Amino acid sequence: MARRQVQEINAGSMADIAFLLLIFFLVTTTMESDKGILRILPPMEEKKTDVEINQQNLLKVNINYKNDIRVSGISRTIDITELRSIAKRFILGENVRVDDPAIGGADMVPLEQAKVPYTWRYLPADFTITADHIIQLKNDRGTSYEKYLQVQNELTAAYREIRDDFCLKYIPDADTYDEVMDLNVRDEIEKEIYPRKISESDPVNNAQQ
Amino acid sequence: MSKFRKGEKKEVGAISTASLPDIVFMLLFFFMVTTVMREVDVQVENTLPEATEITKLEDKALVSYIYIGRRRGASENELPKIQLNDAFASVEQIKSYVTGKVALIPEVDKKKMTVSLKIDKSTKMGIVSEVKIKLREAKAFKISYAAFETSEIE
Repeated sequence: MARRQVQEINAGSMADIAFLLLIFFLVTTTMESDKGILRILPPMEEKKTDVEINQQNLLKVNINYKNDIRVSGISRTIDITELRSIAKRFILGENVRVDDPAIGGADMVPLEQAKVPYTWRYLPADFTITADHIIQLKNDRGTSYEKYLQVQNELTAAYREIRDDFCLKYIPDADTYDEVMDLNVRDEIEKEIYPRKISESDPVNNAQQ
Repeated sequence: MSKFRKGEKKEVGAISTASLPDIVFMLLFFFMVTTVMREVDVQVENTLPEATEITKLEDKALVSYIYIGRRRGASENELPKIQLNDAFASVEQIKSYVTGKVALIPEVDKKKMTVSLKIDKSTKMGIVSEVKIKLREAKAFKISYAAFETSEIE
């Protein structure tokens, strides 16, 4: 009986096939990562409720259709690079309205122990925050989205830097907010001590689109 | 007579390429595993703006996308369009789109749904505000303004 020798398959082209597949996946791959600035929209209100806000607690940031940034109480236009420090100083209760000094800085309110049971032990008893401050962001229908996002970015950065400074000063073993391990403390800083208070009103339509 | 003989030519052996397929396969598997096929064909101009204060969205299953921008290859004067899934849509369709997406998410995670707004940076705020109002009506409050991460904005 003649036995046929089974021939070995030539594996030389294996590399070529693999290369082909590799190139296919290289091309189709999208290392798409979803990153962005997170925001929570306010719920729709059934009826308009007018809340009285004291002048000194309100910082109006307005971006017009020419993409000029204006801040209430400062009569010149603001450069995007200045906005972060203005917002920071406002949140910390300084008076930033250089052209309208009569208004004064935002009200400083003592922090209640009941609201921050976990962070309280690190803080001095007379710690005050600007609990009622609001940054009101206004834009025009013709404002460019890029500028709007830059402003949002700077305001977010202002809060982030304030939280970082706070953690560096008061929270042991944490130089920045991200390094705070205790989830309760994180939560309190984010929601009670320095919550983001950016309010947006529906845009006005100032002609030029 | 020196110990080291000079002048004698040494043959350099050919490098074995037998392990080449293995290396290529390894790369191949890496890309096969990491690859995410794009589900939608983006039909609008979509150059995202840059930002520094960026948060990563963790769970892709909980993210729905809204693309806004000018039609690909359209002239500068054309108004931006909204793209949901694979088709252009009007602002009015956003509510049903979001409701449809929420329905796909398991009950426990419904509140975690995030709408990622992928908006071209040349867009004007008018259309963006309209979309935001519709999202509020649809009770999709968590949004993310998609942006590229940079270390410094010039």
